[in-house]
Amino acid sequence: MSKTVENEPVREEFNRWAAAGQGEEMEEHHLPIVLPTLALMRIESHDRVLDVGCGTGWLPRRLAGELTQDRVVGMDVSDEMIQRARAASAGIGNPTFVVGGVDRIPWEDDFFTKVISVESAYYWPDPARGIQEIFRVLAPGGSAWILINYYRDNPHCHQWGAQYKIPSHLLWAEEWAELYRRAGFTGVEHRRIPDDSPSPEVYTGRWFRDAEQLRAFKKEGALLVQGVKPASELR
Amino acid sequence: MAVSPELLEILVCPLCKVSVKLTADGQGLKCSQCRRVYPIKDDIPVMLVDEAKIEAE
Repeated sequence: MSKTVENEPVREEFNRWAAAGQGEEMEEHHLPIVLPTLALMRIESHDRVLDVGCGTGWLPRRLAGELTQDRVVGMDVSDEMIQRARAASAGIGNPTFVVGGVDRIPWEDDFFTKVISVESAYYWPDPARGIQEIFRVLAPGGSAWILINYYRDNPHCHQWGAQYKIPSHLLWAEEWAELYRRAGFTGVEHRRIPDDSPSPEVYTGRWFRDAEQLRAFKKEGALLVQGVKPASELR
Repeated sequence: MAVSPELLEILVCPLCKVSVKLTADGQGLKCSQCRRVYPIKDDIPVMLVDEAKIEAE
């Protein structure tokens, strides 16, 4: 049997996050960078969307309720997160939730028209493999959108690495883009999505040194990497 | 609410990428190729290779 990628530490860690109620905080934390991303993605009613690392599923709920009439799937390696996602989604559009890992997406080839992943990719055991799998499940002409706050070009997040209990990947924006190109994506671009939401005057959390660093981090912005799977005649 | 038939039609074994079928007891999804059975917990398919059990038959 081929070797399985190490999903277990990620699963255990995010099950702990879910039990601590941290999944429910993600919508508030991520909305300021996700809304500009959704505007760029131009999701339409016929799109089939996969959210990789969906947590408690706020984004699939939003997409299924507002943007697309077709299938929206939320996938997460944490079964605790997915249970919460499903419970919170009763009666809202048609989001589907599955426990699965990005290293082996349990989906047929060429299915989705758009794949989004928010604040997840740097935890993937093997980002190159995850991006290859996203390429596989995308239909020709479909696009992949990875949005992360932890990347090497933003100096105000490097301190997070010491706090993560699971391995993480601190890559340059251009390194992420190269992983896309190697997987076969074309039209690969990366850009910053600044977080324009109001910041507190005083910061007492553990992720930033102080409010000044938090503001600098948000001004620098999240990294959005996008690419298109070429239409079949071009491959 | 059980796992929807529509979802069953399009889920595949994460290893073999072939379709999976609901087991007789309705508690799992079985790959016809590698015979792994992926558990269904609280109506949610757990499509992780490490969580699957290989059935003899």
